[in-house]
This record gives sequence, C-alpha cells and structure tokens, in this order.
Amino acid sequence: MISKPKHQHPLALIFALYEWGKVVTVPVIIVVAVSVRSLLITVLAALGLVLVTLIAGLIDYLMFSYQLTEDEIVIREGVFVKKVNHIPYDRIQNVVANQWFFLKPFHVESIEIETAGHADGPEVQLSAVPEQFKQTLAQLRQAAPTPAPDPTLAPTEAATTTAAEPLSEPKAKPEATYQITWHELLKFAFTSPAFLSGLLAILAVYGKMGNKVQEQIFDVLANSVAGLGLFVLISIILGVLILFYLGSAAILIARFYHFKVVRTADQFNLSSGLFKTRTTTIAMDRIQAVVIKQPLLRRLLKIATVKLVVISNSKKDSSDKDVIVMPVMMTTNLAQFMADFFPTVPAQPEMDYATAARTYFYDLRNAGLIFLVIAAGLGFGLYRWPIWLSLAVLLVALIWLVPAYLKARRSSVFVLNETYAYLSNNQFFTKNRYFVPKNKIQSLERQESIWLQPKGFAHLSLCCRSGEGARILKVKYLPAKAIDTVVAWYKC
Amino acid sequence: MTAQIDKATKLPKSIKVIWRIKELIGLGITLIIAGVLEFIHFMTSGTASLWWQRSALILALLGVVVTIFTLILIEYRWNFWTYYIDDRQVELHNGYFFRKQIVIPIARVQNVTLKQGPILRWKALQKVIIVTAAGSDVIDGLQTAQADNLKVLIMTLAREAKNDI
Repeated sequence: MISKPKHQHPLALIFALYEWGKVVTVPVIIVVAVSVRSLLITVLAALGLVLVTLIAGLIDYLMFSYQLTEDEIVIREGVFVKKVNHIPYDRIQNVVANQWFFLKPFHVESIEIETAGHADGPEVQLSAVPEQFKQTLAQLRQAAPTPAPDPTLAPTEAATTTAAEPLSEPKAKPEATYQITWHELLKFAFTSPAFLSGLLAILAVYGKMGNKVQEQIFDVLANSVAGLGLFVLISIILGVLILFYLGSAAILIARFYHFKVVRTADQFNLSSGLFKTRTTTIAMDRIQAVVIKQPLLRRLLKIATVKLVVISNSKKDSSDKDVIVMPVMMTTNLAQFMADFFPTVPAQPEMDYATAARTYFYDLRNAGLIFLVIAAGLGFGLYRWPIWLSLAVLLVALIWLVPAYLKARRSSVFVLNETYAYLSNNQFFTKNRYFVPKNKIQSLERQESIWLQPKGFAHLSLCCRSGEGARILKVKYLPAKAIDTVVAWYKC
Repeated sequence: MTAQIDKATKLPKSIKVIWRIKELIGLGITLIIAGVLEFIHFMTSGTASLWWQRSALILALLGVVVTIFTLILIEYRWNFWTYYIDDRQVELHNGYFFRKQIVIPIARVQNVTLKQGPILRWKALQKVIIVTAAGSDVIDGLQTAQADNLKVLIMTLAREAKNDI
C-alpha cells in the first residue's frame, strides 16, 4: 500500500494555471492600460505574461509530489525553496474532498487534509488525485500505530478505539445514512438567515471605502433616486432584498444539493454540492461537541440544524466553521436522528428545567440598564423628531431586551450521563443546544459574586476547542445547585 | 466549594509586595500620561488647552483613587487567591466580590510555563502558566522551588493521563 512519490493527475495543471493566472492578471491589465499606443508591444507583453503563467504552472505541477508512507504523508514542493511537509496519520483531524463537475468524468478529486496546526489553511492541498486516494489514506490511517488509548476516555469510546485495531474487520460499513429531500433542501435554503450576513458584508465593504468614494456612491444613488417617488424607492429596496434572499438561497441549494451523511462505526462521511461535490470525513473521536441550532425563523417553523464542533484550521468566524451534519429537520424527528447518528449521546430530556424567576430578573435587569442608557442617549439626540425617536427606541428594545429574555429562558446546563453534559444558551435570536463529552472540555470556570451567592445563583463556562482556537460555552445566572452538579461531574 | 477552599493553598505572602509594586507602576504610568497631557496644556493656549488640563487632572485623580482602593484590597485579594491540586485536577480560586473557580483536569494540561521577571526574581517567585489546548490560566506567583515542584508534579500526572489532542 505504501507508494512512491507521485505526481498529481495532469488535471492538477488547471488549478496551478488558475492560481498563476490570478497572480498575473493585474500585471496584464497594467500592461494593457499603459501601452495603449503600440498594439504590438501590448500583444507581446500580454503573450509574455501568458507564457510565464504556463511555464510557472507547469513547473509547479512538476515539482509537486505526494507520497503515502507507513505512518505519514509526505508532500514535496518548490523549485528554489524546497519544502517537504510530513504529516503523521494520527495527527490528521479532517479530510475534505472537493470534486468539481469537470473532474468527475476523469475520476479525479481535490483533497484537503487538516491537522490541529495553526496554518493559514489546510496543511495539505492536493488539487487532483485519483478517487481511490481517499480510500487508501483511510486504510493507512487505520493501520497506523495509534497512541495508547486515553484512560480518561469513556468506556464506550475506549471500546471503539480498541475495536479499531484489528484491520481485517470491515470498518466502512455504514450504520446510519441520511439523504436530504428536495423539500427539506428548499426549506433549509429559504429559512436561512445567511442573506442578512451577505447584506452586512456589503455594508461593511461600503463602510471600509474612503469617504470620497462613499460620497460619490451616495451622490450617484441619491441623484438616480431623486426623481423617483417613495413607492418606487421602497419597491427598489424590497427588490434588492428579495434578490439577495433568492441569491443566497440559490447558493445554499447549490452547496447542499444531494446532501448525504453516512455514519460508520468510527467516522462521519458528509457529501453534497451541485457544481462542486464536497466530501468531508470526520473521525468520531475528533468531534468536540454536537450542537443543535435554531435561528428565530427555524424555531418558529419547528425545524433545527445539527452541527459538529470540530478542530480545524479554518479561518472562518466562530460558528461558521462548525460542520453541518443535518441541515434541516423537524424537531419531532430530532430524537430519532440523534439516536441513529450519535448513539453514545444520551437522549435529551423532554423539557429543559423551568427557568427560575430570578434568572429572568437578572438578565432583564442587566439588559434593561444598558437599554435605558442607550434610550437616554437617543432621547437626547432625537427629541425633536418624536416619530424617529420612538422607532429607534423600539428597535433598540427589540435587539436588546428580546435576546435578554430569550437568554434567560433558554439558558440551562445539566449532566446527561457519565460522559455527556448538556448546555443550552441563546446567541442573539438563535437557540443553541450543546452536547459536550467530558473529555473534550479543556477547562471549566464557575463564577459567582458576593451578591449572587446568598441568592444561590452562579455562572458557568465550559472551555472547548473549536476551529483553531477555543469556544467558551457560557451560561449565566443559573441556580448554583444546577451548576455545582456539573462541576462535581466534571471533577470526577 | 467552601470545603475545597479549606484544603487549598494560598500564594506566598511575598506576592502581596509584587502586587503592590505592580499597582504603583500602573499608577506611575497613569501619572506620566497625565503629565504629558498637562505639558500639552502648558504648550498650547485657548479653550482646547483648558480641556487638556482638565483631562490630566481627572486622569491623575482617578488613577490615585483606584490605586488606593486596590492597595487596600490587596490583603483580601491574597486571602481569596488560592490553588488546589490533586491527582486529577488543578483548581484555582480567586476573588472575594467576584469569585472565580477554575478547574483544569490534569489530563487536559498541554504544558506548564514558568515565567520570572525582574520583580518576581527579586522576591524569588515564579509565575506559573498552565496551558490547555484551548487556552491558559495563570498562578500569579509561587516560590521558585514550589513552582518547580508543581511543574514536575503536573507534568508527571499529565504524562500518566496522556490524552490525544
């Protein structure tokens, strides 16, 4: 099974050329723009740069090789600066395969291998290797000498680790499979709040532009809008919003097209995508936590999303790097899904315990005080325009007080069994329910104050790993009794 | 929690000197900034200049008041800053008005860093930083021998309870 150093499939050239193409685009544009006088020079210069791209791409391709040895994968690359990267199999966190539609007929795919290292992206990026590569890698990873099993591992997990040792056993047998239906996919795409973040991103770009540019854009917009009536203006704004909404839905549909998740004894295989099929493999014991997320709209429609918190070197924002294992599901089917796909995670109790009245009091008091300060500031600035003032105050109340109420209502933490704890909290309007194994909690912090203690209330933070950093799961103002149960569970 | 506080160890008394010095250094820096503001007032004129002086005054006053308070509270801070180690976990407790209890299982400890600046060296103390895969926690200062023992103890226990990343 151990291979010699190999070049990638010739199709990798496309990707190398694409990368170099991006690099030379700007010089080409400059050359064309500067030397408008002589057509000959322009053409020659442009041709020269295209030639550079071709040669550089070819050299990149020829100097890149990969090799699978008994216990590591070795990547060699570079012409002047030689780079040799060794990645031991037991350090691999996630393996992602991307297959663009034009690679499919050649049975070739791109592979990304992530470790827990703090690199700028995947440690290994193979742009075109045969489809069997993944299988071979998986076999080698299983055969590789695993480190001594963690004595602190829960019995069930320790059992799976030891069970993985005899190679002869057929390991890849699927134990649970789920395939998204069209109906569910549409529901997922059209209930996603992602289009809002798209809008925010555009606003952020606008905010980053210089004042001059901003003024110009504003003037152009204002001039073209000036002639229009209010009705037309509102229709345009609505139209843009709807366009964004449809656009983001289309992107989501393309990304989660034919979404399929397969669980084998020790790993998850996720695949989806219309133009680019993305297959992710995640080993069970690399999962840091399971989270069920419900943004406002999905909560109202009684549907939820299940994600995995994993270690990766993704640069994305906190919760975007969580891996979706279940895009959308009726809450009534959740228990079955969890039982099928996470057999070690105990069933979630029917009802979270009722929130104490004091929790509401504390959360609303804190948010209320800040709200009063903001409202006073707004009143000071806007008292001459009572309509705008009341609108602004209403908006602030909506984004301050409602989440505070939801936070109090949704915060809870308790022990499920020896291995798992359950923590639910609120993030703006989204409800998060975390199932965290004890051995993935890196540290725990319990906080209380001299004023909270007599009332029997405290805060709790569980510190876990996520992406390339930490994720702190926090609940505030819960009965100290509930929190102490978790602390005691964590300590033994 | 109270039961553990009884078993827990306090930091060496000399840490109080360190804390006091640190507070005074902080005050010194604040006063220097205030001095710079006052200097700007001295060099300029007009209404804006008056504001420089006022902010210098406010900054200096705030700095002095806050420092006096923290200096008074250092006795309490020491009294409520404790740590506790058994063969399963390291526990840090601190704070009186706002109490914090941090639990780090030894199996989750990645490494222990000992750090010593000039002030700590003068008092023969060492700062102990306990690093996990998701962050780090600090014991402000232990006697050098004590810190070394602690490091050896934690790392021995951590090796016994070897974990995968």
